[in-house]
Amino acid sequence: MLLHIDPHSGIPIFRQLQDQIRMAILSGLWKEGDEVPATRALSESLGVNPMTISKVYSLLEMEGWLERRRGKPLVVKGRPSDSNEDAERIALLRDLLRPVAHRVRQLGISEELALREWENLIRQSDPSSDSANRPDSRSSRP
Amino acid sequence: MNPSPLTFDHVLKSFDDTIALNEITFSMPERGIVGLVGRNGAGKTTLLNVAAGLLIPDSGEAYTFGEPASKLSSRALSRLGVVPHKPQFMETLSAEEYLRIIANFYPTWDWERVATLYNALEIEPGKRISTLSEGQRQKLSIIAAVGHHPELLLMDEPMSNLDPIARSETIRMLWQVIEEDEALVVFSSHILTDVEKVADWVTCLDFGQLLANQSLDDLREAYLQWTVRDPDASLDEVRIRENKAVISFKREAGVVRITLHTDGEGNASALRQSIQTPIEERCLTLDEIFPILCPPRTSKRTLPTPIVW
Repeated sequence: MLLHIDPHSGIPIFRQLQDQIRMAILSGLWKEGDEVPATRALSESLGVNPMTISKVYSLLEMEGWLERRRGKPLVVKGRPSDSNEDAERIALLRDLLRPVAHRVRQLGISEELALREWENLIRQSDPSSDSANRPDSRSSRP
Repeated sequence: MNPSPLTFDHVLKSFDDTIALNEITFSMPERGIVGLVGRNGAGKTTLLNVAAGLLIPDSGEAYTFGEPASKLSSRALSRLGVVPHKPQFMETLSAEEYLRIIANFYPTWDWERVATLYNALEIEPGKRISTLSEGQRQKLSIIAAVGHHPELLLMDEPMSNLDPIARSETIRMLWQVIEEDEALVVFSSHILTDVEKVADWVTCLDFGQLLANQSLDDLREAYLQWTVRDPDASLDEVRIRENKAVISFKREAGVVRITLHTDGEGNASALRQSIQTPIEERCLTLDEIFPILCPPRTSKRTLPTPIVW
């Protein structure tokens, strides 16, 4: 489970969770048909009000990411059928990068330099290059 | 949607010349955890006492499980749990003896839950109550209030005397209570970071009046701070301040910080469009929202920086 919340963030906890679960589904970490963690268990492990977890699950269910089959537990449905996978991924990436872009401006780093750093980081995180095989980002992939 | 277990209908309660609750009318949510916030003397304790039937309103009525709170049936009382601000005990009894007396009143009493809580909250059941510390008395009072699986739990500053470990154990217990018993928990607190962590609903009182009664998420998403990079001070302060959504405008070292309340009338989005540079946005914390909701009594228009109160 890679969900992680920052209670002091400027983003409400339910939004953080909603975004991270969408990301987990898009990245294939949560696979279609997987049962989602029980509300109670997730509440305990993240230290978050169970009402918040249920709210996130129902929002994701409404958006079509999760599915509750009659009498069965809530499972991952996959990305909503009416969504464009690439567009979703790009939107998520954009959300992640936006604050970074602000920092770049604040630090007064030139665009060129920032982009070069970014390229380097992406290259380093390629799993085929052993040097940067960080366990937390890739461990769940076979 | 099920009816709320707790509603107030034009409840007025005064003490001598002080109005504690000024004809307030509202409903709490059906279940979950409500953080009841407000300054000292805002009416929080009075509200809880009226809900529990411990105080009779001068006019209006509170409805607890749909019954007038001033004359609750024993059936309603058996579904209610109360943690008073200053719990009273029979001092010569041990914790266990005290709970045995309480348990007699409740057919649903659960000694297993009690045993778990003894453990989690580090209470020695055999200890005489007169020898317990303030914090331990508070814990015992909490155990006494949840042993019968209440559907409505009213708590007046239940965590004020608890150490950090007991505090987080109590929080876990409350989450369990709303999951297992599908209960509504209402707790008053001055510690807004606690409220932000524990609650999913916020009810705010000031001068006996209702200032907020909404989900914590909605409340937080309504109050935003924008940080806009403005090194050459080109943003028009006067024009921005004129926007109805704007609460404050502050310049500091090359950036401008705008605090605003999104009002659903599009003022905030109009402002966003008018600002050419990228905006970094965050939701305010409850600590920051509180002084906006309850501005100081003397100067209504100036906004204080977040304070510990």
